[in-house]
Amino acid sequence: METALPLAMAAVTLAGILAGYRVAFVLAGSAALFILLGGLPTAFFNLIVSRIYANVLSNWLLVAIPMFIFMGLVLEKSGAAERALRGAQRALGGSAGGMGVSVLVIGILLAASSGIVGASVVLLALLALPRLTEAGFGNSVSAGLIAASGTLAILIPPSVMLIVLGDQLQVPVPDMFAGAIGPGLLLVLLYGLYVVWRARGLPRLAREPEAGARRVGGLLLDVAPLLLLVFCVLGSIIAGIATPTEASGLGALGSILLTLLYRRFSPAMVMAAARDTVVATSMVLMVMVGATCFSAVFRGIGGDDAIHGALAALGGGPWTVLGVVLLAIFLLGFVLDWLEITLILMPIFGPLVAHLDFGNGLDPRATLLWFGLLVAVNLQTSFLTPPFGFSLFYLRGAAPDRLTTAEVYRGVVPFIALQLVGLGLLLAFPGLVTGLL
Amino acid sequence: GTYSLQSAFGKNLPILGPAADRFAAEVDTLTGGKIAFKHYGAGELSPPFEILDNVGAGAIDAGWSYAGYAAGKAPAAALFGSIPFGPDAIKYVSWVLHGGGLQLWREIYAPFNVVPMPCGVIISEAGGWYTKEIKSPEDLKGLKIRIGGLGGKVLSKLGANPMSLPAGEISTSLETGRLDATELSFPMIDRLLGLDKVAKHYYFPGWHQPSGFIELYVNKDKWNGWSDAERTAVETVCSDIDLWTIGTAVAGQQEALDAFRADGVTVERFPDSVIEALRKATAEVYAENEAADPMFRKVLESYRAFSKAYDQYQALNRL
Amino acid sequence: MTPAESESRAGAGRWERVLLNGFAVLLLLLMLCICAQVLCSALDLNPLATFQTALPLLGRALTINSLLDLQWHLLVVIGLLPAGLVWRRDGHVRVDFLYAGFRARTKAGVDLAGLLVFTLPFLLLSVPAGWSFMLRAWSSSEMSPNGGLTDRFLVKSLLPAGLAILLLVALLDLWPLGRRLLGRR
Ligand code: NA
Ligand code: NA
Repeated sequence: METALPLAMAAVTLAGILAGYRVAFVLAGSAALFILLGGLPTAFFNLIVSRIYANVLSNWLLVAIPMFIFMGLVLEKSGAAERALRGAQRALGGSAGGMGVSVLVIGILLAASSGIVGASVVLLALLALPRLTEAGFGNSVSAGLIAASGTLAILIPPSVMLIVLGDQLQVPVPDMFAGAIGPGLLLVLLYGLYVVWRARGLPRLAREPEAGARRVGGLLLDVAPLLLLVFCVLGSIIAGIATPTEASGLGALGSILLTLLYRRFSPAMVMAAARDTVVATSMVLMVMVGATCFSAVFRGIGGDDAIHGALAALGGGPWTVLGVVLLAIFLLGFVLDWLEITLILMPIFGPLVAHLDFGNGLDPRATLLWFGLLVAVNLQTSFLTPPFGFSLFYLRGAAPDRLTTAEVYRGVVPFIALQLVGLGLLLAFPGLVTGLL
Repeated sequence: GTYSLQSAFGKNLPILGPAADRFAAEVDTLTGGKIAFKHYGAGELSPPFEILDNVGAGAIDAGWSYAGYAAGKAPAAALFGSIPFGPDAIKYVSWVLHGGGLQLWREIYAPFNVVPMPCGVIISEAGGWYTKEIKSPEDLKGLKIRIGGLGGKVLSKLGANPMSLPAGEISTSLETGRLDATELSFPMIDRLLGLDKVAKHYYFPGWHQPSGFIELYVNKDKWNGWSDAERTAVETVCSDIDLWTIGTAVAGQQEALDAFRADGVTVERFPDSVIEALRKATAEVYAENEAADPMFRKVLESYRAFSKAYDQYQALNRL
Repeated sequence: MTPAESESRAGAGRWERVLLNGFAVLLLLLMLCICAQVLCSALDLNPLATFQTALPLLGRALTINSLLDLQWHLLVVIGLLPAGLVWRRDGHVRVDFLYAGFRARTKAGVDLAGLLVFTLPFLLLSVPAGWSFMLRAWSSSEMSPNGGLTDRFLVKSLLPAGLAILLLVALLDLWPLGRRLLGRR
């Protein structure tokens, strides 16, 4: 009886989302419906309005979202990434494996300066796809590598996802950032090993490798602007000049300076990027608005208690609970994006997992951080899982004539498997997350 | 029936969380189950700073919060959160419950359609975590410190830069130097945030909060709908919570302090010159607030009158 | 689309562009505001300015906390007010792996049902709630307790405004959706 209302609410919401109606409004609308159906006081509308105001719109931490989106859009137009990739490719010599690894390297640099995925996937697709196929990688492997390398941007700090997750789980954002470095490098290593393995037996490229000293010098010169941006964002945090939120604003300004450096600056370009940023920001914040309405009403009609009860009935201890949560996130990742999953599930599961003892020597604070990063890697995977995977959309959008959907799907399968291997290693070795604390 | 009780604090915070659970359980017992509060942790239904608004509107039945949070809406409410350089716990309870404070508090909250009362004492806080040593009032100049409310206004009089960073950004900001100091809570709670790793000077006294109150407020229509027996039950339980919080909190701090010292933190008092400078600046801030807000003046006058009588007898008996 | 309709769309499009440019300028202002805050706190510039009389929103002084408050005030504007524009461009996120394959009439059916079941109940009830939310801030002269911005009812008034714009935009969809559902253009 007590589970009937929450179940109905979940079912109505999922049906609305899968039917293809605007996600933000399905979430907010089912909140409104179940205030009325669930017998909550109509003053509950005041409550959800105050949540919209306090949790989303006036949440200072979230100013990082428009700043990182803007930075990515401007970076795309600056030409800095293009030059860096050419430099890395020259420096790593003529082998196909070197080509693959240089894409990964640029992926890391983009990830360390930007907090969102879109820009890096699009950039890598435009720049690297022709070169990877030329090096002899098939369309599938190339697509998979680009999607996965670009997706690192959401895991390697700075990252909007880590900011939102930290906010939801009440883990300090800097802890989330520090905790993400280990998992990020682990995934880079796994990707790198896979690419080198795939490259075995591919012929060397026709191009002449340059002499050693010039090679290194040239590389430094070519990646310098990107490094400058990384320095701008991460450096300002480490130097004590800016908080992670403030660093996003410095990065945005830094990306404009890069366009000046490359003589691609124009007021019209900046305004175009700013307009696109406003549209994207409003879109993202409205999903958060919907989710904050949803979670209050879901809790108000007893949804939390129902889920806690169901998990308790499952028995089996902390690991079972964790397994169920991670599986639920992975499966939802096929049809929802990271933001919706975070905002709907974390308020429910965060407090639950925080109080569990996994017998792995972590105190409650470290447990919550470890859990946060397990969720983060899991959510990062959702960018790659079809049919609803943002990185796949960006990839197809950037290279519509070069890739078929089937090639993209086939290409990401090994990388999804690598993500799961990485997740398994994090489960077994929490030190990969908490080591830097 | 079942009533929602939205807390501004995390359920897992020492003292503040368990006090709400104890309150709910005792009210349930004393009313024979007629009033059963369901305790929601920070943000579960209402965001912390919107609880007053939501209880008044009737979305939630009762709030469990800190009166300082209402200072943006009613400046005088701050004086029911804490009085800088003001009373210790027993004196504070005495003035509010028996010296006219509560009537003023209810008057201040009446426009918000809620009925407030103290429901737990927050014992004296720490003065804050500092990354630099404070030897004289000069050292406060240019100090970037996270502190709000009256305490922030006092510090800015002495040349410090009070700023309001969200809790999630405190730790790194101290570590990197973006922030030089922060005010937080008492040692048992501060320990949860692990600030001893990033700031090595833990200063006392908590001049900005010699003692504070957890406040309980109930939607006025709900309150008026209860019987005399039920309202008395709630008020009586709150008195018990006042004593319970004092009883469990004071001695409990020592363990946390020992842990800080073991981590290499210096636990010390501000030099007298700093305390005197803060006291003087506090008087200026009071004067400004009294000039700007008649209610603020009325509350302070009530407290000062009570304080004078209280202190004279106490002085006579000091051992 | 008839020529008249496309003309009025183009007119609306021009207005949308003007508005969007306005929001874009505010976004750049947000960026500069963050950088200014970083600069001021690095150089210990606080307060940045004091005034003899209280100004609207700023009060008696412009402090680092005012800059911080200004940032999230701008976030409220940028996040909420363009939501109606985004709606007009059908820009709000959809999980469309089924929807993309639907016929036009089925799509119209989904959109009309979604409008009636989800969007309208939410907006019709939250617009008045947002209005009284703003009024309560106004009647208590709510302001920053930390020496930041004053006149909080101004930013809170954006809430009913933004939701009301969405309501208007959503209502404008009713007629065309109904026509498409009936198979008319
Ligand atoms: Na990143
Ligand atoms: Na996916």
